[in-house]
This record gives sequence, C-alpha cells and structure tokens, in this order.
Amino acid sequence: MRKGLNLLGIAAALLMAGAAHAADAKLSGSINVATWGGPFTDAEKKFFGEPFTAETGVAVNYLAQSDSPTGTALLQATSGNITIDVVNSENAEELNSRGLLADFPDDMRASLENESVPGAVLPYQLKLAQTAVVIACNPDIIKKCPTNPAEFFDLKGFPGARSIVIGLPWTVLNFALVADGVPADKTYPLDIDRAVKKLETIKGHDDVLFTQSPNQAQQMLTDKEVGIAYLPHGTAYSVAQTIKDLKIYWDGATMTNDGLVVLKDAPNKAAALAYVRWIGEHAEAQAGFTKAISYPSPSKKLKDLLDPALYDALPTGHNVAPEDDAWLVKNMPEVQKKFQQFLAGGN
Amino acid sequence: MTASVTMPVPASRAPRDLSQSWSAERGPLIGLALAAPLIVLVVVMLLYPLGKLISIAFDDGDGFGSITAFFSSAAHIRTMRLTFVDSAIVTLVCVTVGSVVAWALHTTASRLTKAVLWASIILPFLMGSVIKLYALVVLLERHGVINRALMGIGITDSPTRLLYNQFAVVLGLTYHMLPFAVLPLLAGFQTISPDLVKAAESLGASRAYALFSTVLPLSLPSMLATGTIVYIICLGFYLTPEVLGGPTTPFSSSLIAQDVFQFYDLKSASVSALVLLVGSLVVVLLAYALVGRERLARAVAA
Repeated sequence: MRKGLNLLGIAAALLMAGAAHAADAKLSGSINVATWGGPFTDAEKKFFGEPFTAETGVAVNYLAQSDSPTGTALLQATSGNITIDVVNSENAEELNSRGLLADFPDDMRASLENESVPGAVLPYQLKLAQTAVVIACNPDIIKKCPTNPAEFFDLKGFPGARSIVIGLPWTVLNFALVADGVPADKTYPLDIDRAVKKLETIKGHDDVLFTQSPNQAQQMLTDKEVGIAYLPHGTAYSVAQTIKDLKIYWDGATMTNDGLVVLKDAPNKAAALAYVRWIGEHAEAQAGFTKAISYPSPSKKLKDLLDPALYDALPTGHNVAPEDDAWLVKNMPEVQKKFQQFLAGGN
Repeated sequence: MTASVTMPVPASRAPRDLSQSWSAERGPLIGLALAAPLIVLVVVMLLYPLGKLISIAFDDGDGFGSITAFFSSAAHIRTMRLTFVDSAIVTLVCVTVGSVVAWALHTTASRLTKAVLWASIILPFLMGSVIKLYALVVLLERHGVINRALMGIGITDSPTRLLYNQFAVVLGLTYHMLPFAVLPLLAGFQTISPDLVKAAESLGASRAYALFSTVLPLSLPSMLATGTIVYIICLGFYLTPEVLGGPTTPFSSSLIAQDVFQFYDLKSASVSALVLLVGSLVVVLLAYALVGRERLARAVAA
C-alpha cells in the first residue's frame, strides 16, 4: 500500500516536473498555504497572495494554524493525505530531515540567491519572518531595566514582575545559558542541563511568570501585570506601539530559521514553487509585508525600502546569531521533554 | 335528547387473535436497523478513534513500556495530580454552593429572589468562555479590580498575585461549572417537599438540623450524581487552566496539546489521553456503585 502510494507520488512528481518544464505560464488551480493566521496572514494575503493571483491566476488559500503550521504539515504527511502545498514553517529542518520537502529548481535558486541577503536561501527554503526573542522593559513601572540576560535573571538587582514566553523552549534555554555566562554565539550545542539549572534559580519566584503564547505576554505588558518580558521581537514591536517608552534589548538573542518551504508531495507543486519564487523576486512586496508585521524578509533591498526605525526593530538589523537547526532537530525531543519536565514538574 | 345518546356498542365480536396484535417488540432485525445510524456513529466516531488511540499508545510492542515511561515522568505525574485534585476541589465547591443556590431556588416564594438567582446562573451559562475568562483576568490582575479594592481598604499594601496559579484555575473552573451543578441539583430537589423541613422544625429541630436530617439524606444521590458530572467535565478542561494558570500549573489536556502540536509525539499524547480516560471511567464506576444506575441517568438527563 505504502509502496503504491510512493509510486503514485513519484509519478505525480514526474508529471508535475514535466508540466513545469513544458510551460511555466500554464499554472492553474489553487494552492494551500499553512500559516499563522491573524495579522501575519492579513499581510501575506495583501502583499503576496493577491498580487500573485492577479499575475498568475493561481488562487492562494491561507490555512491558519496558529499553534504550528509545521505540526499540521507533519500530521498530514503522517496520515498520507497531503493537501498543503506551501508551509510558513517555523521548523523547516524538522520537515527536511524526514524527506518531506521539495528542493528548489536550479534556476529558481540562482534567482532567489541573487535577490536575497546571504544565508536567506537554502536548497529547500526561502527564509522569511524569522524571530528573535528579546528583552522588553517598560520604564514607566520598572525603575531599573535589565539590559541583558544576566540582569534579567538577577531578581534582586533588577526587581519587578517579568514574564518569559516559552512557546519556543530552546530560545529560553539559550537565554538561560547566556545569563549563565556563555557567549551568545557559542551557546550551541545547548547544554540543556546547565540551562535548566539556571532556570530553576528563578522558577516559582513571585516575580517570574511563564507564558505559553506571545499574545499573552503582550497582554501582560499592556495591562502592566508585568513590566519586563522576554518575548519575540515582533510582539515587542507591537507593544511599543502602545507603550511608547518601551525599551528593547537585543543582547544575547538568537534568531529562528522560519521560512517558506514547498512539500515534496504538494498537490500543486509547480504553482507552489512559483509562489515562493514570486515572493523572493518582489522586493517591494516583501517590504510591504515587513512593514505590516515587523518580521524580516530576505530581500537585499529591504534596508533601502524601510524606514530606519523599523529596520532597527528587525533581527536582521542586529548582530544576532542564527540557531543551529541541524542540532535542534536531532536533539529536539530531549530539549522539549526536559523543558516540559522543568516547567510542569517539581512543585 | 341528551339523555338518549348511547354509544353504538357492538353486541358480540370474536376475540382478537393475539398473535396478530400490535406489540412493542418489533423483533431484533428491525431494532438493529433502527439503531443502525447510532451504531455506525458510535463505531466511527468513538470506537475507531479509541482503537487507534490504544494502538498508538502501545505501538512499539514493548507492552507497558510507554505506560512506565509516562509514570516515571515528573511532569506527567504532577500534571495528573493537578488535574485530578483541582477537579475534585472544584467539584466540592460547586456541589456545596450549587446546593445552597438550588435549594434557595426551590423554596423561595419571592419572585425577585428567584429572578436574581436564575439570572446569575443562566447569564454565565450563556456567556462565551473566552468572555468569562477575560472578565476573570480583568478582576484578578495585579492592577485589577480586586487588588485595587484590597489595597483601597488597606488589607494589603502591595498587589497580591491572584492570577496564574492554582487558585485562579480553581476559581475559573468553579465559575464555569456552577450552572452545571445547579441545574441537576434543582431537578433533584424538586422531588423533595419543603414541608419536610417544616415538619422537622415543628418537632423541635433547629433549621440547620432540620435541613441536615431531611433534605441531605434525600438529595445525597443527586448530589453524588451532580458531582460526577462536574468532576468529569472538569478533567477535560483546556482553555481555563491554560489562560488562568499558565504553563506551570497545567492540566492534562495542555500536556496532550503540547505533545501533539509542539513535540509531534502522538504516542505520549495517546498515553496521557488513555490515563485520563481510565481515570474518568473509574470515577463513573464509583458513582454507579454509590448512587445506582438509574438515579445517575436521571440526574444526567436533567
């Protein structure tokens, strides 16, 4: 049965590859994009989906999976019934390590590399909307703001309620390691036990709150439930629109490797690849997207197209080390289990 | 004229052949056919997923290895403990408070009291859970209504942490579950005459003792049945513990969601789900044993 499916898949892939070669203009039908929903999807619909449809006639459906687009793609691949073409993946390496992703054709890859900043194009991924987790502090209610991880962990020296967003557990481990004295660019491979030990020093303290979602941290900051937070830069930027004095510190941050990928068994692979390529080749559209949600896009021209204040709010505008995805994928189960143990275990 | 009306009664009629007469029993085949939609539904929506759940949980052929792994994880143990203990506290509070409210509803003669009580039960019942949660967040926040009031009266100098702990979870769940307790309790109380209390009082019992010696024993089964309903609904809660408690005071469902959507670990999620299921089944069986089947069914139907 599985073999039959594989053969079918190969046949379909060959057919599609043939079709893509035969006439690039003959794109049709629609594609499904697994994505985050909310303002993120509003922006990609407006700046990518709608103009792409106008140009090619391919309809783009955005499927909001606010918890994890990658998880949805993985579940679909496990069940063998794939309806997703493109994934706004927060963990492309996870999909790649299971052989689920399509490599970009050579000419497409060359064109994308030509348009993008170094490091933004992988054989199967166009990086987009990467996240750095940063320290935000509201000086209206905090007398002395912690400016780096070590100070964030110093509850006596820098008093005040603080929240830590744990949606991406490895960023929290990374944060703890930097606080414990490891240089920010040398945290990988992560010493999980050392990080957890450092985190144990502040867990359970009245001034320390762990929150699952960035939105909850945003709500806590705006409601003044906390004055300090460790949260994704995009969320920090949204909070800064309400709390004008909000201070943001990049010290010790690392950057995720989010980006667009196309599934190998995508039902409409040719159109999916064309969609990714279209985005990579339209710098103005990328700038519009970045302006709308303050997450980075790969174009070289981005710096000229954005105003300096916004460019400065992006991780790509700072000297932020990228995460080691290959290590993360290999060790993800251990990272997550130990982090879950730390968080939900104990007292 | 009126007096002469008579019904035409046939004088004699052969007795009906009983074997041809209508009977409530329509035979097993027709019964099966009539029940078929439900059977299909149960098989497709319940038995198949349940089988799948079990097969995923015991996937490796290592037998109870996954179960052992589950019970050797401190996170899972603590989460289960929190889930079962918090639900028990909520159940206790809901049945106690719910009994008082339901008895008041049953006995009060004042229309105003009745209207106010009904409104206070039905309004939260009809409100979306997100709105209820948001209301609680606004009340309990560090700079929320309750903390300001406490500081205003001078009970505390600095804001107390009321949110993101076990207390908030229990409070939120109680608020949510109270209508589920009051309605079946009221149905149970309606079978008890308030005159019993008066009779006991006329025989010299105090008000409290009268209630205690007449109403309590009569309503015990409906209280146990209500408790069972509340307890089992509580065990599966996701949103309330997630929003009011946060990741350090999780319920099982939060851990299951984490396993599925963040860790892609269906096996661990299946084991958690099974443990939760077995736990709930034990509670139902205990209730059956204590209350008896039909009383439980009646309370659930109400």
